[in-house]
Amino acid sequence: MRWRYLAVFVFFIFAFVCVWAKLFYWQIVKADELSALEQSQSSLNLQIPPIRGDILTSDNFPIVTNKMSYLVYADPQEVQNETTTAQLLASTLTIDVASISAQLDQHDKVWVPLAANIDNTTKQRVAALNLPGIDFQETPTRYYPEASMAAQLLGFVGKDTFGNPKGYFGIEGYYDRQLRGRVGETQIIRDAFGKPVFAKLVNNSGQQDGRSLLLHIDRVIQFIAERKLEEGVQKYGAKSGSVIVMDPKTGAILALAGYPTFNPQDYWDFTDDEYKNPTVSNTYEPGSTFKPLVMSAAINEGLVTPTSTCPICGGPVKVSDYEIKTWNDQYFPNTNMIDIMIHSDNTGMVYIAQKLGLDRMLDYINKFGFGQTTGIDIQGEVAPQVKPRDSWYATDLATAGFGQGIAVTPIELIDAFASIANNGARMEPHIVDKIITPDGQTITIPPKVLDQPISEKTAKIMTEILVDTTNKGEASFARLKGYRIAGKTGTASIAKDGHYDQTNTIASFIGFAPADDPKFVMLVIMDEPSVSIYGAETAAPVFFDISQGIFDHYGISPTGD
Amino acid sequence: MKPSNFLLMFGIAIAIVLSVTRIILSATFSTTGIDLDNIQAQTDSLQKENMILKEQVLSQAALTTVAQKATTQGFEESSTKTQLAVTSSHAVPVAYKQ
Repeated sequence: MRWRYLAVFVFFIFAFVCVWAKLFYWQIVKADELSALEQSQSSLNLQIPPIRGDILTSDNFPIVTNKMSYLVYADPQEVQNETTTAQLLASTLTIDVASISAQLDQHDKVWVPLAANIDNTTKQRVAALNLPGIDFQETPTRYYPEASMAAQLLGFVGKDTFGNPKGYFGIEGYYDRQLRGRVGETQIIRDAFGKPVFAKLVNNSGQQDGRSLLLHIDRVIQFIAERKLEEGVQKYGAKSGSVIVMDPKTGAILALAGYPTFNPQDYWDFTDDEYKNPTVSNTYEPGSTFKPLVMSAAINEGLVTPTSTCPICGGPVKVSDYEIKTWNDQYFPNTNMIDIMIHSDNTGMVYIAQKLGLDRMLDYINKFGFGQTTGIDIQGEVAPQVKPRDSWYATDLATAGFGQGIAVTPIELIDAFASIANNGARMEPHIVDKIITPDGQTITIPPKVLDQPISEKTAKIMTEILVDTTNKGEASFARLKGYRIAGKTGTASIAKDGHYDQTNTIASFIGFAPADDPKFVMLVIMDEPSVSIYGAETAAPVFFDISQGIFDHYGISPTGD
Repeated sequence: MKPSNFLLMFGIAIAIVLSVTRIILSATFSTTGIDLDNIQAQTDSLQKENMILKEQVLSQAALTTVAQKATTQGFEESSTKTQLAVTSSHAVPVAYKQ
């Protein structure tokens, strides 16, 4: 009898051990696997992409923002009538029937793309066709309400090697990290019907929308500059042109235009050369627009005054084995500094450069910022190197006096020239005024003084000389009467393959206004104009055209010459 | 009643109350997922509509659009300086009464 009790007892012990063993197996050994299975069945891991920040002009207009675009795709296995579907889609999407048919013919696939970057109107038209197997995928894309305005300044958004959005060139490239934000991850728990469970709502880990940028760019001035530049390039038969408009007191860039340009909405249709912003990426020899800086340096050093005379200006000047002539072979013996600038007299500038001497010349070239980047907040800035001191010869010093033999970028030149308009202080040029976080906080980028190359007194003297130059020089025929504009023409030879091009030039005009309280400084460059090679006859009229627009925009009335 | 019996009864009562409360709350929240889904769908739809309207507004407000419309409507850029031209056939009053 006793053995029966023992047998039952052992049986129950054995049964419990089996249960425990099975529990141990499912809850300990297989725990991770089952947990993962449960996660995949009831929860959904989602990546939350950030919304890229907007780029706003100074009037808070979003010159770059985001819009919803659609990718039309098909499930070839679900498509019922391939021929009809392809024809309907081709006519609605205005693409080739053959390309759609080729995609729909891939019956081994469940997802094939048909058309990308479709706007909402087109999407509605396709959806209204009610075609089985056709669906849409939303993709946010960049939208440019002003089309190609300021394209070379803004850059564009492409993809990186992982297929993520990335800014290239211009502002989009320089401020990519600020604009793009941060991808987040979230987990949604779903019930048996696939609906989210309220009690176990999301944990949003790390998603942050991109920051927006408020620019100094004045949309009206940008519009005027681009329009006048395009008209000027076409009128004067130039290869290309560029314009920079800057506030000399703060370094704020009010407009920055290049022509030809590209459309950032369809950036893939253009070449790398067209993406580059010529005002920061192209180098050239500035020619006579460099003369005010050299003369300022000499005045600042007390070597000359406006009424000092030039003893060597009666004819061509011999320097080493070379003879330096004026641009029109006219000579003015004992001419003073004011007339040297008015006549753009190369021999006078050689005299000044020689008086300055190589050491001081190099010192002022450095103080004016040449040979180093300006720090402008745009991708692609280059800084052509200034030759080291022991590579300079007497002819180099002489030619530098009139802006040849030294390479600069347009932004370097205008930044240096602007110091004359700003009491001698050189400012760091800036395009972005403020960075705006998604929660509305603003980070202001303050103006920055880079250097004080000349004194306030020198700046004022040079301003008056330049006003006289504008009123009486070669470009006086095009000037705006009644406005005091301080400016200088430039007609620079182009260095090609070790010698200077005999027929083509880079024509330019640089100036600021109103001279007594400058609101803007502007540089206009015409690259190889064919109608006339001279800055006075090509770049200067464009400069004055744009200036008139700026005066009207700011409500600045004429004050007299 | 003995204290031990009281504690036992109290514990059972608490367990029953909490269980019933949990059942009621779970039942209530079980359908909120549908509401949440609807709210999310509505939010998405409104955001998309907002984005589309914003695109249309910006397109109309763009200077390039305004300039094109001005040209098609016959406006021309003045080649002379801005000046006020009075073209009315009536005499212009010296001052308007406010």
